[in-house]
Amino acid sequence: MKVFFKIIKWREKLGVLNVLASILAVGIGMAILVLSLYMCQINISLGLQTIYAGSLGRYNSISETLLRATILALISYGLIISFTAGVWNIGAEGQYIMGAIASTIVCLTLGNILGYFLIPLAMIISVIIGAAWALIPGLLLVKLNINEVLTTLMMNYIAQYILSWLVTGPLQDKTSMFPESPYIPKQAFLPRIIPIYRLNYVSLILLILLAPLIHIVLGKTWFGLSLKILGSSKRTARYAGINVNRTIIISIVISGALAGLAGALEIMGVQYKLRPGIVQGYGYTGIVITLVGNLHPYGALLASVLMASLINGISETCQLFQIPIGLAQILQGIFLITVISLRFLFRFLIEKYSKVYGE
Amino acid sequence: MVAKITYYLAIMLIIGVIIGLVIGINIPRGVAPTETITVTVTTTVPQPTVGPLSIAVIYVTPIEEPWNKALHMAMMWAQENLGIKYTYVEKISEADVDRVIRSYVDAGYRIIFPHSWGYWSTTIRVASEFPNILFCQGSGPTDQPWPNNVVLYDYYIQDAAYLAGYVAGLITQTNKVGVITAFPVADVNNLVNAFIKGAKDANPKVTPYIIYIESWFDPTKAKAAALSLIAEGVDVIYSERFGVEYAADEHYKSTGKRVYVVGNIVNQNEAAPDVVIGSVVWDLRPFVSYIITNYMAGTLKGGIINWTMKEGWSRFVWNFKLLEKGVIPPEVFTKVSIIEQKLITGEIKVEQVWEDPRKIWLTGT
Amino acid sequence: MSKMEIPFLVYLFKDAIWLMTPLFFAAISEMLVEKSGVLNLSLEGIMLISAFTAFAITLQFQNPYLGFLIGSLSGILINIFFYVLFQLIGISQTLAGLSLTIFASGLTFFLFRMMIGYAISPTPPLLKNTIGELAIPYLSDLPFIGIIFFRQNLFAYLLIPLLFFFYIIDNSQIGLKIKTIGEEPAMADSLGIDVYKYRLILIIIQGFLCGAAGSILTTSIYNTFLDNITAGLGFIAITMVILGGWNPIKTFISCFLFGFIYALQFRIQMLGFTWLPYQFTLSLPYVATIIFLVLFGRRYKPPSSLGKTYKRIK
Repeated sequence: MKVFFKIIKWREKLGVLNVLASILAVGIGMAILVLSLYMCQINISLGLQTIYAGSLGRYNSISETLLRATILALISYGLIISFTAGVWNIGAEGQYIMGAIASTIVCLTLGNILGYFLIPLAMIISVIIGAAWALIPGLLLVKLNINEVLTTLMMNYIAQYILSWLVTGPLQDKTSMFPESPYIPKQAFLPRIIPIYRLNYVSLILLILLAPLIHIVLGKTWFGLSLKILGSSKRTARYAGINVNRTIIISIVISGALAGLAGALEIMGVQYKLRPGIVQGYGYTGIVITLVGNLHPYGALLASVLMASLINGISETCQLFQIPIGLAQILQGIFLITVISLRFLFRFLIEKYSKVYGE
Repeated sequence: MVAKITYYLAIMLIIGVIIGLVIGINIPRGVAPTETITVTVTTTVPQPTVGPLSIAVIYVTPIEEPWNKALHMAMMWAQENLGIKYTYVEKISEADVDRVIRSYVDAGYRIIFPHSWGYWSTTIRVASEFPNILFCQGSGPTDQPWPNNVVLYDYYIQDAAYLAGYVAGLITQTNKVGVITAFPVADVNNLVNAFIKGAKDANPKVTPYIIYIESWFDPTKAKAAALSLIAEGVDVIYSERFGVEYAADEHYKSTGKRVYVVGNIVNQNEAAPDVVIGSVVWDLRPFVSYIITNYMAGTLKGGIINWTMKEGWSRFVWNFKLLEKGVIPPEVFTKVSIIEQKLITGEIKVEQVWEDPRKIWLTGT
Repeated sequence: MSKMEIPFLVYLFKDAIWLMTPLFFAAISEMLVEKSGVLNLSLEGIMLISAFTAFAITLQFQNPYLGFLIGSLSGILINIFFYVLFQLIGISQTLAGLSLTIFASGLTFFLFRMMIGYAISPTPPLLKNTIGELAIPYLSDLPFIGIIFFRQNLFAYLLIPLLFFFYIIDNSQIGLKIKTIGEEPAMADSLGIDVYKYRLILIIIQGFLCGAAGSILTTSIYNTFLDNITAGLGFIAITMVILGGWNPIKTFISCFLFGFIYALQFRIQMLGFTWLPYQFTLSLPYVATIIFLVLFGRRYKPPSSLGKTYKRIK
């Protein structure tokens, strides 16, 4: 027994138990999914097949799943950085909206002047705006010590109202009957890999390249180390000579910047116009992914692909078998609850037994 | 660090194998899932429809919203009476409709209704990709190059709205008539203008009050807006959006005074039978049966549907409970019936006016 | 003031009170819970679930009071689950609250569809009996005041007793203990104040009041359930607590102001002021709170341990 827990303790250092928690959470979620298919009186194998077909079983599904995964992954890459530093940025939703707004405005106003520079410029501006939107709660946290959870949450709502005002007011397409902006110019559409499917090069490259980059930043640089120290304890960070305020600001700004970039990708690669429908709770799903992904970029990459497949696959099952839509959301909540409960339970068990069989 | 990555890779592998096994075991032998891939790209060969004709409808909001419910009810009716298979999905955002349409096409649906303005550009693109599938697009710009396999329809029910306005003009005591509506956009303006014109034709002294709740579906706001109209002394409200009847019903129960509500799009007479005087109904049953019968006969042509009261596209449905109780004088009913006949025969024509009603009717205030 | 404007103002105040009722129920309970150092972001989820439960029970038994009661009790159930998550297991309060809200918004829509089925009637299933307006005899006949204060929804009469109750608690010995818990849970525990017990009791009270706020929506304000019926009311309640600076009376005033602005926006439109975008009025609570925090951030001190996980060390 003693040896067993020693092994567990050794493995915990490698984060295996947290990974196990993530896997168990996904497993429990899947079990609940199967259970609900059963409750809806659907042939389970047929239902799972449909989920597979809707998520990864066709070229179009693969394209759509990866496209959604990119946006979720970008948001959660940013959240990894701020959560590692112990900054609970709940405002990815608002930062994503502001990024989307910024890129739309750039594309609509400068679309005919810039030509090929349009796409990079729009992305840069939306990154800046997303970062600026995150800077406000960051500054409030550092200067006035105001809880960032509350401020970021409120900033989400303000961003939503700004979006709603823009699409019914200044940016509205005058010929449209819906609150929506005109289409952005053709040269702002991100280049697609296969012309009839929407998956574009930029999304795919960002999805794949950013994960190792974040991994290197977190694991190999002084900045990453200081984030981790700050996340474990502010006091330790001060003793270690880390500029706590600056690190907090940088971490929340990076997460805002990446969420802003996700907003730009949604406009230029998915929707091609600004509309209230861009708000799909990605900011909150991003939190789920970050934790299911165990605050690790590769984990987030996996989790975002998994979550995107689940959203698309379940949506397809719902539409073909007449299950009420909303199942995907239930699963998200269950994932989040189980993954964090299990992680804390494991840690609790280890602490308890390491005391009993103390080293 | 290497150990960590190895662990992740191992775990990825395990998950992949498990998922693969589960799916592999469950897939019936002989039907490879990859075969469907070719279907998505090249569905140019006509496929014989096996079994009943299957129709799919895509809604952008929950089916409780009247705009959706009108079509949903017509489809439920068609499923019972015309022997079709009807499936729907709700809460599909504009970005996802492309994927949803493709999966319905793959599943063998021959007629697809993308039932929202926001879907129109996707419909144009996907419809030209699948020329054998019939698309019925619910509202969209009329000046676009629509493919031949698209039928475009919209709720041009201004005839019935005019009639409702006529009723409102006849029964109002305070000469104040209210409208609670969503956004100042063309197809909504059309109804509001027709309603106010009807009220003015019946009673030139009527003052219109218009409130935009700036949402397609928000009963809280509609209710609060209605209460503010009631407080202002408005006694007939055209509930272009859902939620007004709660306010009127509450007002009736607490004070005993009736503020009449006119329901819109679907029959809302049952929602509050004491105060809803009637509903402007957008009846899609003739349209759905027209689409189905002509599709089966092979005579359906794409294009813009521009029906009026004559074809049964729109109706004003009285709440007969109020008529029976004698709350509404019978002469109102007869007067309105005469106008209705004139509308059907074409003696009175209600123009489609797209302008903002506040600019037309509220000048001077 | 002309003759026209008097009923205008009277009904404006009446609607403001009507609109603030569920908001205040949620906000006042959140205030006390936040004082004990717990940030409950699951308010929205609790309200959704209890709104749905109250609706389902009322539809089944045709008794809105029973529905209201069961709906409120279901709020307690969810909130105890929240307590287990953050206090006993030790999950971050923020994450536990958010995950419950995400979960609830999916679950209620799913169950609603499962319950009413697909073949819906022209109108969604409506409750025949609701808890309606209650005119107090004699007093309701008073000019102006009668309409504003004595011809209100049943629950609106509970606003003042509730405020009174929380004011008393806030200023009593118990309130002091709660504040100690919120500032320094470890110190409170060493002083012999059982942090776990106090938080559990507060969570139960909050569950009931929040559940009541949700149940009011379906059994009294509307007679049906709709997808996302709360429309962010839970988060607005949290904002109101901050705007009220963790003070019961100020929280009451900010809730009333919210109801007032909400009721005013339609009247502004009716009077012909269309230049003011409605989004401005709706975002006002959030913008105002942030501006307040920036200006008076130092005076408006939240409880020090707000949102932080506390585990007793044995």
